[in-house]
Amino acid sequence: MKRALSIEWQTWRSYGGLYLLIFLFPLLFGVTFFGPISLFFFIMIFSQAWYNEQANVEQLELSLPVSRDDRLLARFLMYPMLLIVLGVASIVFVFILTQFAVWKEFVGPDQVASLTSGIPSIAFAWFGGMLLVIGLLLLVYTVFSFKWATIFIGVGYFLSIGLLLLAANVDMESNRTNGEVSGSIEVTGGWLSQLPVETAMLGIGTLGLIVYVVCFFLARLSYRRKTI
Amino acid sequence: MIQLDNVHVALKGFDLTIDELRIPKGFTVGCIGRNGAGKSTLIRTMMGLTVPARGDVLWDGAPLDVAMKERIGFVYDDLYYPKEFKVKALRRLFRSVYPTWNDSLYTELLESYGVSEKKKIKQLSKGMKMKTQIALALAHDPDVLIMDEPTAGLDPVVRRQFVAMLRDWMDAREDRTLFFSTHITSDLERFADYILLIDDGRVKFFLPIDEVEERFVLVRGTTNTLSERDQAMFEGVEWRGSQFTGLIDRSTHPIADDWIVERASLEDILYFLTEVTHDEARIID
Repeated sequence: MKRALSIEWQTWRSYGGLYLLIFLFPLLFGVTFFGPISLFFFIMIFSQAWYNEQANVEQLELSLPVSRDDRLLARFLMYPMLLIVLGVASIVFVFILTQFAVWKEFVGPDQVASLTSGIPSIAFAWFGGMLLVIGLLLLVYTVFSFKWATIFIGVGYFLSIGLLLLAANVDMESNRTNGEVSGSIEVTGGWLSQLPVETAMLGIGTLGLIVYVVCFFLARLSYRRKTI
Repeated sequence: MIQLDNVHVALKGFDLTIDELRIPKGFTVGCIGRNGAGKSTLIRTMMGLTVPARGDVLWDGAPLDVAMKERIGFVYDDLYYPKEFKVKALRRLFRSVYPTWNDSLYTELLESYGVSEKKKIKQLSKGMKMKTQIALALAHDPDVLIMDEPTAGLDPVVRRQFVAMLRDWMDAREDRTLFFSTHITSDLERFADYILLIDDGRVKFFLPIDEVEERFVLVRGTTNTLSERDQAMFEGVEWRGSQFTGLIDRSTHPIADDWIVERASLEDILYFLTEVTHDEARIID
């Protein structure tokens, strides 16, 4: 297993400089940090998948003394590990940045507040949500190809937006006329609105984890028989 | 020993079928065949990259596992690693997975081949990529070297150096095995112990090279010296006006006195067995 993780790590390491730039760029311009990390991750996954497929890397990697099961497990383990590391690193990074007055002025005080509030409550949901998408993406990429993974993410993106709009059905007008101002976010209308925010976050996070594990086992079934 | 029994690989538009093949330990085996004959598929099947629909591929009597893979060095027709990466990334990768990796030997080999680790893979020429792969394959001191078309695209000088280097590697230890696929047959005439001829996904023959040279000969003559019975005994025959050139397996057919007999090169054998008699698809025992 150590060898398989090492193979995975060597690839990440070789892209390190590029990834660091992509990672730091949006953060420096004061976007909420879950956004850039998510974007950063998908760029990483796509660039790796694309380069690997172009160079037929699997032919080399699967010739190395590592079992297929370990190779795939390493691939699926690396993403949650990196999410945790980058998530923690981002929080620390943003925290440090908020200590600098120049940056506060550059970004604006509202943005600084939004960056530092509500982190624990949404972090788990974000982690699960990311795993859900990454898991499905890795499954499609492993079973089929990079081309299909691209189609999947494109179609998935538009479907997700559509479904979210449909499910949330936010009644902004109603909120405005009632003059509701409260500390908690309450979405009115639609089935999603019936759930307390904390429960919804926990649900999304847990669902993401479960889907990720299921994706791994499904991908493994295919990967064991994969022919190059 | 590498052993293939009742193996059938089904790919899109191509299939490879091998009833029985035993690649002995300690020898150089040259695998020849036309482009698309199934050489690479056979190698990928041996290496566990292509999963056969049925049949067994065994290395020293067991399916290929991680421990066995540690003892195999491989060289493919291209360096299958992201082209944007520097050569030094390969050292890190191989060092981390081979317990017997020898860093100083690798450095020595790269230096002797003139390969710079600072270069990106895309900056390497075909010959340099091949040399890098050879250095990677040799630096963990393998018992078996599997090579898929390693000389394709190399100029004659580099090819000769390459073959000389392989010969040295084989001579250094008796238990080493080299399996080497190519369609440049002259490479093998210099040092192969066995020849495996593959055509259209089937094994035509697998014989010691001495036997190949002994058995197959080219015969030339005029068509008026040929009876219909004579024509049937050719493995392949080519007609030029009133002249003919044919390949005969001497072990099964006698040669007429008025024919000119010449030594058949591996290229001749490959040509006559796979091109001229392609439709007949004869298998030689």
